[in-house]
Amino acid sequence: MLRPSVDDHRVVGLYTGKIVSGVGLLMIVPLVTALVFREWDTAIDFGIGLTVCLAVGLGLQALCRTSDELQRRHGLVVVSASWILATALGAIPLYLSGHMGSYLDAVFDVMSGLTTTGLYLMQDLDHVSNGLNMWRFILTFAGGQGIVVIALTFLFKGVGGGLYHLYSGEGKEDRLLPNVVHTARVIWLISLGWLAVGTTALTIGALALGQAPVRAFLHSLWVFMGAFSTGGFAPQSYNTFWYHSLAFEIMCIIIFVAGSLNFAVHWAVWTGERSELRRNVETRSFAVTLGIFTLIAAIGLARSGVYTDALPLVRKTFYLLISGHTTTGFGTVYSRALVTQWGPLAMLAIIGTMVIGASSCSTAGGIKGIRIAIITKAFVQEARRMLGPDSAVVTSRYHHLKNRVLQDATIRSVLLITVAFLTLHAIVTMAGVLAGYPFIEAAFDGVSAASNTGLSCGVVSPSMPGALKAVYVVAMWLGRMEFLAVFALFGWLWSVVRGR
Amino acid sequence: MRRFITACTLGIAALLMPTIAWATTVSSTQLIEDPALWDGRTVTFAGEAVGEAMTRGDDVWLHLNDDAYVVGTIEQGMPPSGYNSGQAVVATPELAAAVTVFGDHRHHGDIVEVTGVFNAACPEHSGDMDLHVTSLRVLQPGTAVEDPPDAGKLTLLATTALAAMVAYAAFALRRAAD
Amino acid sequence: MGAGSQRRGARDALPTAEQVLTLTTGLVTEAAFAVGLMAACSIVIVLVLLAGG
Repeated sequence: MLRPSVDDHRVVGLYTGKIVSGVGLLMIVPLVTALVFREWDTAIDFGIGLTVCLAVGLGLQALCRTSDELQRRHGLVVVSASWILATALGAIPLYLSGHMGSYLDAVFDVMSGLTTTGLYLMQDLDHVSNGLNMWRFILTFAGGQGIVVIALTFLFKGVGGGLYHLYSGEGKEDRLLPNVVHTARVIWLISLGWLAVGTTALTIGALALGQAPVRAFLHSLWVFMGAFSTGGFAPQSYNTFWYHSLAFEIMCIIIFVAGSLNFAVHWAVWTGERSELRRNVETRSFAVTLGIFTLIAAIGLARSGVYTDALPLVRKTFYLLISGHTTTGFGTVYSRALVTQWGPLAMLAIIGTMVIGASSCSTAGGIKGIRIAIITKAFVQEARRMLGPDSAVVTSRYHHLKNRVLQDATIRSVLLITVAFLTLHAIVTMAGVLAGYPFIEAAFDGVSAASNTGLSCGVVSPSMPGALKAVYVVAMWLGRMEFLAVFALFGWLWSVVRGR
Repeated sequence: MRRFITACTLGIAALLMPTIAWATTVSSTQLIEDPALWDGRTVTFAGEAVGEAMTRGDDVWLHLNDDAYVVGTIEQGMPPSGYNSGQAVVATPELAAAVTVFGDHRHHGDIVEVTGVFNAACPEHSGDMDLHVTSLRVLQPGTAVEDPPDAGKLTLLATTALAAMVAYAAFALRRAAD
Repeated sequence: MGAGSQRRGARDALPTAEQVLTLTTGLVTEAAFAVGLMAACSIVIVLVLLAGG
C-alpha cells in the first residue's frame, strides 16, 4: 500500500475537523434545553462539551488547510476518524453528569446512540436532567441520518464527487438524487417531515395517557427520535413499558417501521411512486422474514403459556418482534422477562430478526433485507442453473427502485458483508460466553449490539466486565459502518507504518 | 350447623388469608426474576414514586423504584449504583392521590408502600406485568433536589472556552490568508 | 435511484399544493404499510394460539 502523503493527512484532518465541529454544534440543542429548564449544572457540562468539540474541530481545520480534493481513499478514513472523535468528545457531557460509572460507560452510551443501537449504561436514568436526556436523543436521531449526512447538509457546499465517498462510507449507498448534498437534504426532509407528524401524534396520545403537557411533549419528541432512528433509547428506565397503552404502542410501531424503510423508498413514495413500497425487494423480504419469525415466536410463547389470551399474546409478541426486526430495541416487557417468561425459542426468534435487520440506506442495522433477498435469489438461480440444460443462460431479476438483473459481482459483495456480519455475531456471542454469561443471553445481547438493535435480556449492565463493554462498543461501530470504513481506517494506519 | 359455621369461617378465612396474612414483602428483582412464583399472590412492595401518576378513568399507573436511589439521587450525592429497578403498579385515583412528589431531576419522590395482587401478565392490562394496589401509604415524603453548578466545572469551562477561542482565531487567520 | 424521483428532484423552491398532497399521501401510505404488517402478523399469532401452540 502507498504511504499517505502529508497532503493526504491534511485532507482527512480538514474534513474530520468539519464533521467534528458539526457534532459540537449539535450540543447547542441540549445546552438550550438545559438553560430553558434552568438545569445550570447540565448546561455547564454541555458548555464544556461544545467548546472542546469546537477547539478540536476548528483546530484541525486550521492545522490542515489544503486545496487537495477529497478522494475515495480519504472518504472512508474521514468517516471512521469522525465517528471515533465524535464518540470520544460526545461522551464528555455524559461523563461530567455523574450518571456514568466510567468514561468507557459514557463512550458506550454515545456509540450506542450514534449507531442507533439503544443499549445504555447510564445509571439512575429516571433522575437525569432534561438537557442530558435531550442529548441522548439528539445523538440517536443524528446518528440515524448519519453524522456525515448532517455535515453534508449544513457544512458543505458544492457537488464534489469526493463527497459521495463520505456519504457512502457511512453505510448508505443509494443516492436519492444525483447530487449527494441534495440527497443529504432530502434525507433530512423525510426525517423532519416524520418528526413533525410523529411527535404531534405521540403528544396527543401522551396527553390522553395522563402526562402533563410539557412532559407529554418532551416524551413524545424523544420517543419519536428513539423510534424513527430505530434507536431504542427511551426517556425512562422502563422504556416504552412506561406508557401501558396499546394506542401508543401502535404509533411507535408505525414510526419505527417508517424509520426502517430505505430513504430512497421513502422518496419514491413521497414523490408519487407508491407502488415502490409493494414492489421493492427489500420491503418484500422484510414482510416475509417478519412473518416467519412471528410464527416461531408465537409458538414459543404459546408453549411457555405466559400470555393466555389473544390480545396480550399479539400485543407483546408483535411489538418485540418488529422492534427487533427494525433493529429499534423498544420493549414493553422487562429485560429479564425475556429470560424468565419468554424462554429460548421466542428469544431465538428475536435473535433471528435482529441478525437480518431492516432496509439498507435507512436508520436500521443488521445484515439488511436486500442482502437476504439477493442471497435467496442467488441460491434459487444456482439451483435453476444446475437443473437446466447445459447451454441455458439463467438470469434473475429483482426490483430495487428499478428492475435490476442479478450480477455475480453484486452477489460477491453481498456475501462478503453477510459473512462479516455473521462472523461478528459469532465473535460477540463468544465474548459474552467467555465473560461467563449463559449462551442464549450472550447471543441475545451480543447480536443486539452488533446489529444495532438495543434489546437486552440483562447481560448489558453497568457491572458487566469492562472488556465486554469495549467489545460491544466496537461491535456497534462495525455493524453501523458495515465494516468497510473501519477496515479502511486500519488500512490507512497500517500504510502509515508499513507503506511504500 | 356448627360444622357448617366452622366451614364457612374457614372458607372466609382462606379467602382473606392471601390478602392479610401472606402479604410478603418483595423486591422488584424478586418479582422480575421469578414472575411465575409470585403470580396472583398478594405482596407488599415499597419504592420511590418516579415520573408521574398517569390517570386513565378508574386506573392510575404509578411506577415505584426500589433501587439504590431510594436513599437519594445522584444529584443528592449518591454514587452511581446501577440501573433503576422498579415495578409498575395500578391504583385507584383515591389511593394514588396520597402520592404527591414524583422523582425526576429536581425531585426525590415519595417513598410509597403498596400492598396488592401481583400479575405476571395481567389479563386486564393486556399482558403487562403489574400489581393491583389494595392499600397504599407514603412512608417518607419526597423532597426537592438542588443541582448547583460546581466550581471545578466552571474553571474547566473557562479553560475549554479559551481553547475554542484560540482555535477559532487560528482557523479565521488561516482562512483569511488563503 | 428511481428514474421518477430523479426527474422530480428536490427543488429549492417552495412546494406546490399538489406536491404537498403527494407528500402527505406518501406518508399515509407508509403508515398503512406498517398497519398492514401488524394486521397480517396478528392473524399468524392468533392462528398459532387457536392451534394450541
